[in-house]
Amino acid sequence: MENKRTKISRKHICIANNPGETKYLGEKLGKLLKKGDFIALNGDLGAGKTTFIQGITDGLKIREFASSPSFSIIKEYSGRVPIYHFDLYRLDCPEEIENLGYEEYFYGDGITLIEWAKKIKYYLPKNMLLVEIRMGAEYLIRKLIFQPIGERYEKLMEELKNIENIGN
Amino acid sequence: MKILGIDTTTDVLNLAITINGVMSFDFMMKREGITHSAIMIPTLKNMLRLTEVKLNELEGIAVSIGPGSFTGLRIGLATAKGLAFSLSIPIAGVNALDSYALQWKELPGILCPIIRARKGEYYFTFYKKRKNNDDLIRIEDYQCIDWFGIKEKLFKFNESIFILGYGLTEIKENNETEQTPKNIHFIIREQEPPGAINVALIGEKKILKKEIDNIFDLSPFYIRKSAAEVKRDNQQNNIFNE
Amino acid sequence: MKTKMEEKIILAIETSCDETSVAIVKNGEKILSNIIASQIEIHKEYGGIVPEIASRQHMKYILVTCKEALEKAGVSLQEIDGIAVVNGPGLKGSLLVGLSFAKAIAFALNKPLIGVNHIEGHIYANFLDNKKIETPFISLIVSGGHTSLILVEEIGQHKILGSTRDDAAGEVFDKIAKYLDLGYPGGPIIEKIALNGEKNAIIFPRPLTKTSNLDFSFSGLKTAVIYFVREKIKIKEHLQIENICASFQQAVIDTLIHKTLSAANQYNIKNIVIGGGVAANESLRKAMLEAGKLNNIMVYFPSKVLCTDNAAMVGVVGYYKLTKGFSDSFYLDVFTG
Repeated sequence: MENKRTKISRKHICIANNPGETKYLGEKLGKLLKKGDFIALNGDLGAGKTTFIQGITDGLKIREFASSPSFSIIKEYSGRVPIYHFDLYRLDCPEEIENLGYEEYFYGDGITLIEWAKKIKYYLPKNMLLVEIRMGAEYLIRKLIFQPIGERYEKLMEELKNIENIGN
Repeated sequence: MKILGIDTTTDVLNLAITINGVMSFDFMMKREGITHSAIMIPTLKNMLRLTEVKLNELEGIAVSIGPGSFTGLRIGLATAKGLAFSLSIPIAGVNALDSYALQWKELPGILCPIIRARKGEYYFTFYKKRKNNDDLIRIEDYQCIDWFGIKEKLFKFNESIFILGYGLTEIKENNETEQTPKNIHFIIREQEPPGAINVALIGEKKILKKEIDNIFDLSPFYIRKSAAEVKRDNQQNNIFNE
Repeated sequence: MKTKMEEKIILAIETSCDETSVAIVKNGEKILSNIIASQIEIHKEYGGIVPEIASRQHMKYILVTCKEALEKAGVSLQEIDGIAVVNGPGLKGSLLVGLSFAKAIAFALNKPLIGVNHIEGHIYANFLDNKKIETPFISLIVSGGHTSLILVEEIGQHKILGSTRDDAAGEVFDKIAKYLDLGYPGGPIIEKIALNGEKNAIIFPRPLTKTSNLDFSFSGLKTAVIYFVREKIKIKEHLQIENICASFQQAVIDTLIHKTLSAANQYNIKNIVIGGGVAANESLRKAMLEAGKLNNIMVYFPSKVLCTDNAAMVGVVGYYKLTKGFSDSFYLDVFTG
């Protein structure tokens, strides 16, 4: 049987001084993403999850607005690979995700980006990049905490750090 | 009876017509980048033209209810409902494991069809032939567990077992080794998906026996894990500190 | 007076997101039935199905809803002249049920199939209650899932002039209501509380109103309200919920009006058609009508019941497209956004 003990992975922190910087970070990450990548976002209302994803889709050269899919829950974009943008805000319970064919998205042929990912924590794949966005006292400033889980995502963070100033 | 069989559970769209329990037409289509949604009705239209069976001559719709592709199942089932309703004919839902087993009923032994479910898990069950006749009977519940669990169950059997898996190359590669017990055989096919002919054959039997499904209720076959099971199997995600 | 040739009964299907809805519409103006699955009476027996209020259960509800619609309209399938179905935007798994079902019926009955854009549906909801609205007109469709400005030069032809870059207006109402612990659905609740508030008590931002660009953005407004509330809580000041609601609502209304008038100006249009869930907001309706009066522009709204998602509006679009000789092939597929 597999050892299910959680490996505590390192967290990487970055400060964004305004929504533009949040988006910019997303764009840098977007340029590095590959098919099968899974980015799980958490953060309070207004923290900037959608803004960060708008940056990612810019980085992936998607021309449509990555507007908030809170209502439709899943939005799909076509880029060099399909992009699945989930927003679980309206999910009343984790089990609802089962009615949406989540497996085919999560383990499919595209890149999955999920807002409010913690709502389905036990349905998330083993490996992913966790991104938490925290609001502070200052109106525009955000703290972005990246936690890579799994080799691919640790490598991804290293690549991101090489082009951006992200500390531990 | 003239039965239309529909199987949209895999990447192959399969439509079939059977007449009195005999195959009349079997049409399979797989096209890169084209969804079942786009080609379902045009394919049906063409097929009927070629078989010269008129739509209003059909006496029943047999449709695979999976397990299988999430979008495929929605397309197949909703189409079947629309047709059955419009033509006022009965509908029969057929489990994909049943039709898959029937496809290979000639094999001499226990049949174990498997269909990929969630990551690392598979739907499966076991069938054997009734003595003195050709019918297959299912000898266990439909189940969904990981491969280790399935292997443990396989070892229970002494007679020949045939594992049937469409496109499940990882099963074949990881298991067809020197250590594999000699009574276990892997029939893993990349070009032979579960077929609509068998969906139609099983469906016709159900309709003749008046085991007609409630057309309103008919939904994709899906084994849900309980919340507790989901949590137990994904403990590594307990990192959200809540 | 319509000639016999133009008399058409449309079976309309809408499964783009949460609700399953089927309607029978005659001649693009008379609703013979408009059924939403969650509202079907519990005592109806359809082989044991009791429609619990569950979202996105289209596979379970599509047939019972369709049957109910036909029965209520007193119409048989054979009397249907065309099948109109929403094929997008929306949730793929949901859309596929409606579209596949509609195609099967259209094929079996040998009747035309008409694919309808959900947003287009909201535009034409207006034709159910108002006399025929002259083209060209500008349409503002504002709901939980969409905020868009559309130019309709001719019936059946539309061009999107602008849409939201982030949150839809209806979505922000819901999110602010939830943040303030006011309940669901947010729009009507905030509207009610706002009646007792002062709409200029707090000046929240009106995003993107300083540009002639016709896109919307509401996430900045959302964040501004959140921070305003946070600050008050931090300094332990009493929250005047009525004022917050009124001022927030006013910011949304001002933004919507500003952009809509800007569009009408830019394209020299004298008719504005509003639709979508937020169009049921009385304060928005009043403000839009006033703004229209000041600018010599006619403003149209559907009745409140037709502002939310429903299939009747889809039946109207189906009728107009069909009478123009337009229908879709069976290759029609869904699109999500």
